[in-house]
Formats: sequence, structure tokens, C-alpha cells
Amino acid sequence: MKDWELEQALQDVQLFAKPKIELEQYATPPELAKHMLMTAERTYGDIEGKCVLDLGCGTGMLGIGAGLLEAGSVVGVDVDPDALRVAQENIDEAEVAMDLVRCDVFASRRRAEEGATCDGRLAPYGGGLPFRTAFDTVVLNPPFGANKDRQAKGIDLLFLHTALSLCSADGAVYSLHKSSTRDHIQQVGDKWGVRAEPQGEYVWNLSKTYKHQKKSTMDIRVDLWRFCHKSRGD
Amino acid sequence: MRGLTHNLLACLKCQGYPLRLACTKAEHLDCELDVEQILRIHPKLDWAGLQSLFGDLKGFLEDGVVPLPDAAPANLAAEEGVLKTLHHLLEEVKVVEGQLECPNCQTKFQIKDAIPNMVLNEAAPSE
Repeated sequence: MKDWELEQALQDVQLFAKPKIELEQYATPPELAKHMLMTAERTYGDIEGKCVLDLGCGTGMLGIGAGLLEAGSVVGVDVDPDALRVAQENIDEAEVAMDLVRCDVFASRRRAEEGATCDGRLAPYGGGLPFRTAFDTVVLNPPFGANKDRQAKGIDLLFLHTALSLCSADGAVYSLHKSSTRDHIQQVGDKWGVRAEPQGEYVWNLSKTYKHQKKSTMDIRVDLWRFCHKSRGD
Repeated sequence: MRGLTHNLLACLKCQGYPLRLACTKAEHLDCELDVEQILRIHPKLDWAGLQSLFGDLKGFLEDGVVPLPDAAPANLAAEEGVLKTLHHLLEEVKVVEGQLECPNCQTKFQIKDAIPNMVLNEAAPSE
């Protein structure tokens, strides 16, 4: 599949009908999804035939893209039933092999960490999510923690940490983070003992999604990151 | 939810596995058997989980599906019948409505519109 074919197919993915600010629902633009998935597939061979997890899948943009690139299986998880309903329609429409499971990354994480701290090494496995084994590839566009009053600070790292603990020793995680946090992400990667490799900086045009946003459009700079456990030999 | 995802799911509370499935509605998806693909994911599959699912889904499988052997065949590539069963069980049967139950702690998780709800407080309101 060519780049433009993937991007064009992803244009048909329906977005959030009524985005929920408490969940920071901003749909991944098809172009950005294409860059992420094509990097994973072309440069590293991390999509075709692989077991892929789309963590916080929303209406399914990344997972459906992985399905179109012939992932072996795709599971999308999200906490929002409304988003999942739209995601299921998108999956049926795109005719890709992707299943959805409703999970709460935030609550699961807290359960997993009861009595323990999150810093230092990675949780042994799973981050409190209901899976018996790890995935080959985890893709995510995490919430960035823009709402300071919602104790959401560091939520992108919480998602990233969960993604890493659901990724097999020879697998990889692809994630987006604000470019302004680049140094911090690198440090966090070192602390967790994973390889953190920036794959490029992209301009994400957020069209006005919520009432509190004053401008009708806003550009933010995001980095595409690839993370893998140090044991992976490439 | 297809069988492939059932094979990965464990209890949210206690990691109990495999989750028992009481299916009330299923659909058959139309997809071609890709032997290479089955062989590729085979090492990741849990055989006991497959057998449990096969038993739970009996009434929803197409006619003439051969049962799974007690253990994973040493040379799966040569076992045409088993490959067909795996393909049907993992990729073709889509569970639309039903309930998953943990074999250890008996926590129940509902499946609606093909989506298992693994969020605890709503999945187990009695607790």
C-alpha cells in the first residue's frame, strides 16, 4: 500500500461525534497516523503480521491504519463507550481485522501501582490491563495532559509506561509527544531503561475542538517517538 | 470480539485465565484462510485458552469443524483440519453479545455490540 492510499483510506475514518474534554479527545489526523504507521512498517517492519495494540484508540484511526497495513491482529482499547461505538462502525466500514475492548488505562494503572511507585523500573507486565501476554507493537496517541486543573499532568507518561509494559521484549512502541517535552521524554526513557528514539517532528493543526479554545485553529509541534526494550537487537 | 482477542484476555482483577464465555449472539465474518498468518501467530496462542473457547462456542461454530487436539500439534502446517478450525475460531466467529467470567474470582464482564467491557466498577455493580 502506498502512502497516499493509506492516508486516503484513513480520511474515511469517522471522528468523535462529541469529543469529551475530560478525556482530551483529539482525533489523530490521517496524515500524522500515516507517518507513524509507515515509519513503523517501512523502517522497522513492526506492523505486517504483528499483534498490534492501539492504546486509547478513540475512533480507531491508528488501529485501522495498522489493519490496512496487514497487521496480524489489532486490538483497540479505550474507556469511552461512545468512541468505541464509532470505532466499531469504522472497523466494519474499513473491513479490517480489529477488535475493541473497553478498558480504563488510568484506573488500571492506579490499581497496578497501589502501594508502589511508578518511577524506576517498568512494571513486570501489563500495567493493570486485562491481557495475559504482551503485544508485538503498541501504537498510541496519548492525551498530552493539557488540562492542568484536571490532575492530568504526566498522563502522557502514564500511557507510555502502560504501553511499554504491554510490549514484548522484542517489540516496539510508537507514540506522539509534544516537542517541547523532548528532553524530558529522553530522560524518562533512560530512567525506565528503554531505548527512546525520536523519529521526526510534525506540525499538528488542531482545529477547534472545544469551546474554551479561543483560536479556531492552533498548531502544535509533536514528535513521533519509537521506544523499545534494550534487549531488542536492531 | 473474535477468538484471537479472547485468547489474549485475562481477568482484570486477578489475571485469571482463560475467561469462560457464555455467548448469546455471534456472527460469522467472511475472511480467507491465510495459513502463513496462522503459523505466524501460533507461538503466541495459548492452547488451553483455545480449547476452552472451542467448548464455550460449540453451538456457534459452523458444521463440520473438527475438534482441537489435546495439545498443539508438533507440525501444525501439515494439519489441514486443525488449521481450518483455528482460522474459524480465531478470525471468523465474532461474538456480539455474551458474558465473560473469570475462572478464579468469578468476576463477570459483559460483551455488548461485540465489545467486552473490562471496566470494573460497571462490570460488577454488586461489589
